[in-house]
Amino acid sequence: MVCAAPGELTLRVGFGETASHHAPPLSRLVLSDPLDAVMDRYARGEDAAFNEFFRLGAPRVRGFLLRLCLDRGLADDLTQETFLRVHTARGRFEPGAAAVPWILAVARNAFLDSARHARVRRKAVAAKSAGQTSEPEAPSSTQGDELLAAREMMGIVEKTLQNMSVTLREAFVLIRFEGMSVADAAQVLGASEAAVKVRAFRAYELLREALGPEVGGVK
Amino acid sequence: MSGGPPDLDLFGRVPDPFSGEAAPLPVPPALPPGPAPTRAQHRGRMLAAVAVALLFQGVWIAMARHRPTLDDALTPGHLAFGLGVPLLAMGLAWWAATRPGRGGLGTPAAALAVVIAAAPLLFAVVMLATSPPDQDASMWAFVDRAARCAASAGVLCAVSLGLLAFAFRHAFAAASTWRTAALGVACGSLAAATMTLCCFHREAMHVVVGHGSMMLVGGLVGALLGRRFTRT
Repeated sequence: MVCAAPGELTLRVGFGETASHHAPPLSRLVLSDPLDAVMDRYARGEDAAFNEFFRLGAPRVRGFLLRLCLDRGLADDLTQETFLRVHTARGRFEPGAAAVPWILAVARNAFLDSARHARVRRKAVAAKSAGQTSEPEAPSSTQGDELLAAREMMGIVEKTLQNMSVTLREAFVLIRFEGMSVADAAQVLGASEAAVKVRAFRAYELLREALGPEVGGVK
Repeated sequence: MSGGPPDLDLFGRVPDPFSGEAAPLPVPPALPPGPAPTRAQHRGRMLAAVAVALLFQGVWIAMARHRPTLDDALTPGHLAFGLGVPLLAMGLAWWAATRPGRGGLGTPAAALAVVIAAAPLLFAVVMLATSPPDQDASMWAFVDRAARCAASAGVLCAVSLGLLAFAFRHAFAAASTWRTAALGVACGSLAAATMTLCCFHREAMHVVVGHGSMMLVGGLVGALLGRRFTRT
């Protein structure tokens, strides 16, 4: 199941599919990404490119932030904050570089800043407890056992992601859901490849424990 | 974690709780009035900061060179190592902090960590190996002299780091802590080189502690600045 904007090249996979981590690094994969060309124009100071830049980049940024903060409202706010930061820092973007890793790094910074903000944290917790967030939309045909089981699994994944530390979660999200190689994820997170690999695998272990035999009969 | 390298292909077994997400996108943010700084403006700001930092070091040296005993203390060997090693460390740290790296996200964190650790270590080892042993009669005299030089080096380092932190504010999208720490090491190294020309004590431990300690302190302060100030 792929959720992407038109023209967006993505490796995101859904339930039952397997992400390939032996694929070429994202920085090479996205060279033909239309977002790169638009980002280049925008970074050169072409203000008119902002709307197209937002249209192409926002789905990716929002998806990343949603998996990171697990709160739809907060993800929307942080998406806007990310694009504001990108606007201010667009002159820092390296010409010819892949836009996605750079933008995701900025998005991560926005998330980290918001996570430090006690008021935002309280708001997120309150929203969570009120049951306003993160419950996947129920499809019309949830009567089937398989769909119910899948929905239950999604809930477990979401809860486990929420309970694990941000450092584990962000590493796992980048590799599993954003389809990045370990090297690219390490660049975005500003950590060594070994550290990112260990963090992502620890997150996977937590998820595997929570999901038990549901995860491909691992246990 | 079980033994052996982790198999990341297993990650695909974990379902994506947001795979069916089709929410409408948030509205684009209202951009602040006025144009954002261009690449040329960023470059100009950086060059101006470097120029002012170097000018400040030059003025400091010019003021210190009035001391009559200074020229006698500076041997060619001391000058070569006392200037060459910190300037080499400075160049290395500067390069690591500012190079665009893969995808414009800078030098990998592991490489930055190596540079940040290696620069002061190189300075300490070379200075201990090439400088004469300390001749201070008491520990207190050594601490007093080293503290005076460390304070001077601290001022030199702080001015450079302050200027660079301003020039690089919100510049680093990734690894900002490591990259700003590398900038701090570069500033500390420049201060150590300047102190070589300003101080007539050239005993090994004095040079390492009094002149070189700001390489470490600069790195630490840079790391603190990188957490918020230089991060995009």
